[in-house]
Amino acid sequence: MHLDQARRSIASNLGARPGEILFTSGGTESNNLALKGLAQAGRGRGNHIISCSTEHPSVVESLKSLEQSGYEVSTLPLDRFGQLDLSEVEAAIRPTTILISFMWVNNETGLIHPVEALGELARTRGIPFHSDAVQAVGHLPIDLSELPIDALSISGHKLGAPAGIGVLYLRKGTALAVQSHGGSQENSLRGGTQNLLGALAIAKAMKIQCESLDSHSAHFKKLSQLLLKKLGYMPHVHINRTEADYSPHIVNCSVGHVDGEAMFIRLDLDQVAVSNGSACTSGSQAPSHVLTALGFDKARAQASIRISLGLTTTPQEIELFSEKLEQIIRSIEREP
Amino acid sequence: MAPKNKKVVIAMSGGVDSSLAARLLVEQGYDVMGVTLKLWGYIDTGGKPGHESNCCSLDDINNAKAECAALGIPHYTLDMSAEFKEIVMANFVSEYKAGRTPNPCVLCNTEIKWHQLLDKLDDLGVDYLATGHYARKVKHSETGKWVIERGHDLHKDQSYVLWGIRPEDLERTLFPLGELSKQEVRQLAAAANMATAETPESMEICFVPDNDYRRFLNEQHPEIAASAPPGNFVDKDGTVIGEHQGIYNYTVGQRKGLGLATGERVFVNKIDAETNTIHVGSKQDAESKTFLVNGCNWLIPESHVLGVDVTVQIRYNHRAKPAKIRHEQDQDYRVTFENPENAITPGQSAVFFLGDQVVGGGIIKSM
Repeated sequence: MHLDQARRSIASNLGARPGEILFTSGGTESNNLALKGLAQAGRGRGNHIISCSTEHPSVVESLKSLEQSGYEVSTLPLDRFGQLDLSEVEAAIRPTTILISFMWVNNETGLIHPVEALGELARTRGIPFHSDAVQAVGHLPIDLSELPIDALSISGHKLGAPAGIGVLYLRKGTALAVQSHGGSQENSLRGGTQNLLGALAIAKAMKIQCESLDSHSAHFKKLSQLLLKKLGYMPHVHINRTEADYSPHIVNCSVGHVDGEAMFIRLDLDQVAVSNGSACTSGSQAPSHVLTALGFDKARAQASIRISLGLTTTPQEIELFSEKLEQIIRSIEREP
Repeated sequence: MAPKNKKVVIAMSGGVDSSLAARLLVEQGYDVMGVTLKLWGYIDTGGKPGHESNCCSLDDINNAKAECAALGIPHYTLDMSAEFKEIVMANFVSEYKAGRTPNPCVLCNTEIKWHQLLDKLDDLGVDYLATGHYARKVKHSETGKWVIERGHDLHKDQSYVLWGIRPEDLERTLFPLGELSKQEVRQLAAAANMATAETPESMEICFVPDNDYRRFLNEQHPEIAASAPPGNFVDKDGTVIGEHQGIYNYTVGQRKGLGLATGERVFVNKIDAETNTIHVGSKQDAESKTFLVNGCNWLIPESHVLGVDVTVQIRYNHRAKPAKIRHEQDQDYRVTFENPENAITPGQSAVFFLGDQVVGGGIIKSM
């Protein structure tokens, strides 16, 4: 009962039907389920998949695993600003292409990919289109009844729900091979007793985010403009943005003439929580694969800061952060 | 006595020694930060994911992190794998290729753990670098220079692998375990309920966890086998007595795995890369009183060492023997033992002691 309510609420926030909402354990599972499930369901028609080099590790690794079981994956390069050339996507499509997947908003740079145009390309050729929308939901207006998207991954904790809950939107009529067998839950597409508390939480969180989208957007825009202005005046700082569209809650910049690791340690010691990659790559300490894919060398990638803004972030915090960052850069800058 | 405002970074491997060292520094009142170096990836060295490794794994990093969290001090992981690859791994490969037997731990300490790390730590306003080595830092009475004294626990003493630390780097070094025995370290760790109290000893080269350096070279550097063709084993008289499998497969003093049926026990006496020849002979044939070193590091002015009665240690497990050192030419110095020593191995470190104090060292070049 409650589960159905949660499902209906999420569906209405996304412009979807309740039957198109599958509960999962999070964004990573949603991506795994979508990519493997769609690829396997399309195996009779071909084995070719198109994606790009700056996807989240849960997409990159799922595609690698598919490659090992006989699929061919075209990983399209992006230019150094993270932009995609639509004609290249078109050129990459083969008669055997059975899946196209592009993230909506890049989690490290904030760049918004043209999912509508990409989905259109796929739809006119009868190819399922999946998008990892973990960083888009709650930040951009989404109406799936108007968009050519067949599958969409969503994470609960990015919306303010606890970790351990996610959603995969699957358009009615889209074939998906089951990945978790042994139960008739979720239209027999994902066996296992549902996480009811998680489902209620993500439904509520999404409702709040979607209903307040305008005021939240205004908040993020105001803060990111302040941040961009501050960063613009700072020595050695290069903002990793172009004229393209960016989600206002993520700002990425590179700092030259400093040791990236030292800068992050100094920021952390000053109680500033920023990151230089996706949390999913922590422990590896390797430079961000996203920034590397954009052509950054190791030193620049390691000296790149991803600044994520939250609903509770205040202009005062931006001022304080900017002050500390500038102090740190000045104290550790080295001769070029 | 330790001033509260002195900032110390403790290099932590995730094992009991460095973890206890961190705790001791905190107890002594220093402002401590833990750092774990990521020097190589297990997968990069031919291991399979999910298998156990002894160093640089996520487990080790998490152990160190957990100990720091328990102490309420920050912990960071620094990726120095590029530097490690460029300096330590490259040297390891080129030394074997040249028929020499490198000690990568010495080079790693000198260049990575001390020199490059201290350079990085400058950005963090750090006063001292501490490690969990069993060694002591003391002032040489005559010159007032900092030197390294053997650890109180002679069974665990690690001063041999520290000779290369530059004097200016040693100045900024602390060895909190120098006065302790391994047993005391384990007892103190257990008494403090430290999760790492029972961690196993690591004795091997970190990036060759199975101790099989030939496997490592063959798998990771197949080019070495291609450039090191089979050649001749010759005896003392120069007679060819067999074929070797490429010089990198052998070390001076080696007896096993030569595949020679000579009727008597023979040892590798000398590896000649130029002629691709390996000289074998009896244990006595491998003895020598004198050898050349280069790449020397002096912790006190060399004038206080040359011509003086010193002892010299030529392997990690060697007992230092009486010798004299003199300058030969350019960067070369000649070490002459009082009595012949067995299997003096080019590529290994020769460490110069005055009593229990390391006053310098170098790399064995040739006889």
